[in-house]
Amino acid sequence: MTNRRDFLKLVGATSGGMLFLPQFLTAMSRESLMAQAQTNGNILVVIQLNGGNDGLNTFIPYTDPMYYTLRKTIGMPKDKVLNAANGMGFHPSMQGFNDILQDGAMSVVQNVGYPNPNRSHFRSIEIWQNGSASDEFKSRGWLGRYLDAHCKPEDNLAGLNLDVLDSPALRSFNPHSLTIQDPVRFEKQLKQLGEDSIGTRNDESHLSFVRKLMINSFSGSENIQKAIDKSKIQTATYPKHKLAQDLQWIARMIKGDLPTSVYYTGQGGFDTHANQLGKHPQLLKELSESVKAFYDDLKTSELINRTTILVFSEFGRRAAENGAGTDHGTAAPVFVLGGGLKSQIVGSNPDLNNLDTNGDLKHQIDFRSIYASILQNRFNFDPLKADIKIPAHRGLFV
Amino acid sequence: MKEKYFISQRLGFTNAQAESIERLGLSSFLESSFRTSPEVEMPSFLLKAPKTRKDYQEFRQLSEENRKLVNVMEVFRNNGTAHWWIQKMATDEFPLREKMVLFWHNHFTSSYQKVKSSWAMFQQNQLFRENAFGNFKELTRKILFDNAMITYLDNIQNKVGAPNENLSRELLELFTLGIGNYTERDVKEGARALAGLNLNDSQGAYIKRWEDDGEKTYLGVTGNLKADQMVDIIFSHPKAAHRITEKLLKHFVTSTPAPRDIDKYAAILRNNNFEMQPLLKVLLTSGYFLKSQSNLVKDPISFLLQLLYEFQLTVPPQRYLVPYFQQQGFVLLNPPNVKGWDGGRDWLSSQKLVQRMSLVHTIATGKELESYKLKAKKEAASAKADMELQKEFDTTYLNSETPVIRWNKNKDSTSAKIISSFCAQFLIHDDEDTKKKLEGILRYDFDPNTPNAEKTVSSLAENLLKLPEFQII
Repeated sequence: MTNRRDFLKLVGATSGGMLFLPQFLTAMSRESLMAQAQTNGNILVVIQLNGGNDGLNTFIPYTDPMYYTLRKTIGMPKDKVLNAANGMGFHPSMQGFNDILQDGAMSVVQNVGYPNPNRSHFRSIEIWQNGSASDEFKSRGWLGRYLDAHCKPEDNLAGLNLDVLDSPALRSFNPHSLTIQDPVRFEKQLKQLGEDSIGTRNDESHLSFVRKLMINSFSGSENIQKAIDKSKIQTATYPKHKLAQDLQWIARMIKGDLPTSVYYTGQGGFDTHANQLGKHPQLLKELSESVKAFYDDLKTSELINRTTILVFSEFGRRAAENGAGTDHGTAAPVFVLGGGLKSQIVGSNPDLNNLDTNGDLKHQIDFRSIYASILQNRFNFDPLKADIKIPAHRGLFV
Repeated sequence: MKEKYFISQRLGFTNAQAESIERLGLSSFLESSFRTSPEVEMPSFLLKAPKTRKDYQEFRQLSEENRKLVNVMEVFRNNGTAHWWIQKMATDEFPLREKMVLFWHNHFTSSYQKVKSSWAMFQQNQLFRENAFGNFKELTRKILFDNAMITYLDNIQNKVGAPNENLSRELLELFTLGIGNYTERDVKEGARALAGLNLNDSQGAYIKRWEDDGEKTYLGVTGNLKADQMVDIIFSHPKAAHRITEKLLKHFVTSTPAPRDIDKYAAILRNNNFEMQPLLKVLLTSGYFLKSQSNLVKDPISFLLQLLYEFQLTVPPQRYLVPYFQQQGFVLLNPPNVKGWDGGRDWLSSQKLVQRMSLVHTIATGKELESYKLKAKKEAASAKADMELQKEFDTTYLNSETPVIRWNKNKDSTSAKIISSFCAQFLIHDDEDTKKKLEGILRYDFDPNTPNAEKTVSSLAENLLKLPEFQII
């Protein structure tokens, strides 16, 4: 559906419509149905690295001899590491990250994790996405809780997730987020559809879930279309990587003034149990080049000051290699980029001489303190209202 | 929805079995399903696939260019297997076995992307078919020696002195006990016990020099343990049946099974020494199952196969299905990660829903099928189509039919009758509002004998199949 009239016709709000206005829509006015989220204009872009990124080979303690003792095969030779600061340096595939750090817009937060770390991919990512403790189960994601508390119930495009699956981090009580893989294809398919697509009734069954999804798709779509139209002229060049393409779409939607404050996307393949030397450099290259292109694009468009980019993974990997790769570990660096911060290395270097009984790094900074800082400093929002009780990490933002 | 259609879709993929369920009765239908033969003829496109260690030695001696060529062929072969499997799901008289193959594929996951051997993936698929209604404990034992699994979870790299924990961890976390029922130490000790378990012809085997023959303590049991003992130890754990039972309930009954139901059916599995048949018999004839209408979101393969069945189309060539499956996040033999597909509401997102609706349009109108055919004809004439497989698939499809909706055409077919019967076949829920709306498409004066009748019924079906009610089963 390309315009508001078509949409309202679709949900049956006009007299010619064949369908009936769903009850849960009658609870809100037609105007508010299309309302925009009220924010301070700041934007968060989350990049989730799936599979457990090897932090020690990403931001490398190359001045610590213990690193080379633990990693005889996959250790990165000193002379190849891109020197950053404090005796730490980036993997040579990460020139882009190093450039952003030198440009003054990146905080590297070291040894990020949580108490009693879980080494299951699925449990650990759940802990990160829900912003919970290791033994705590929450039904909504940390960003979902933020959106529920911050947005009007009818703001249905406050979050946008570029993925195949809905992101649990955005799971909320009211539908505030849309999940799409490719905005252009999404639009095309919507346009092909007829009008007989929306039913009635309101209950919490699967059926009700599908109905809400359908309505969200149609209403969110109009705004996305507008944003894409508005940002038609492309100047920045992005590499061909999937992540870069996703970030380019996000940039277009930011430039097109989409009323969305949280974008979520990710990159997969980081579960490097084997053949790490073959796979990991390419993954880091894709990450670094994609983020650099996005950063440059937003900087040129003077939007970088409004934007915060958060890069994290569900865990780091074991300090010692297993021969050709690394098994599941714990703490790892988190990267925070964009506006409102000065380049710095937060926290001390990984302590390879003081590992836990499992041979893993002990965490130093709780990931929830980073979430809290972002909500507090970038969204002027009290993290407690999103049920994040770990205090904000002071000094992350200026 | 009438019960026979509901059962047909839950125990298979489409409405195709509704009549035989009615004729045989549910219990005999299940018995007949259990009695089906798991044997298949090896698809001819796998004939030249490398299979043995000797084949792989020869492969490694090829020039780089030829190796690349083999790799491309291997991808085609694996796609061929996925397609062959989909066809089997679509055409089997008793598809419950394939529904269970899908269940095991989604439990003991492996992905071609990592395994990179079409033969190993096919063998694993066949292992699931042979053990579809077999014993969970024995299948767990067999999967540890499965070449595709050994590759997928990096046990090739697991050697004494350099343990790789991947297989050991997932064996406990995802395949059997689940988080909370083992410690990190068990993962480490299990990895030592699995050290040296490596690839071999037809199935994996321990390689002496890479084994760890030291003493290990695994879930409280100490000894020079190996894979076989690990399985015995795991299955003596009180929680050994829970995780698999929960997943089985999610596969057949409800996306949110209650803990007491999991306990109840897990006890049945355990008391029958992990045999699947007794559990399936009790579960699939229970009121719990029969009264679970609308508790599942339709998975992408059932959604597709149902549309094809209702419009009387055969399964289109693999590559025409790829965009649909990719967008649905459901590529057979290439699950997204070792956990497989969670299903439930994850089957849908805004975009997936929209794509499903456009698939209904594509199939009902046959429009894109036409353009696919044109494209295939063009490509068949070009050098691109050298791939034997591709040609084989496309030629078959080029001769195929256009969509014709399945409906009861006779002179008594009134609008009300057709609408009622469609609702009973397709919709998990319908009411007067829905019917009234549908009467706007198939009006009360509808005449089944006019030349345009078929088209009108087709358009009715298209509208009906786009309803949210068709996304649920």
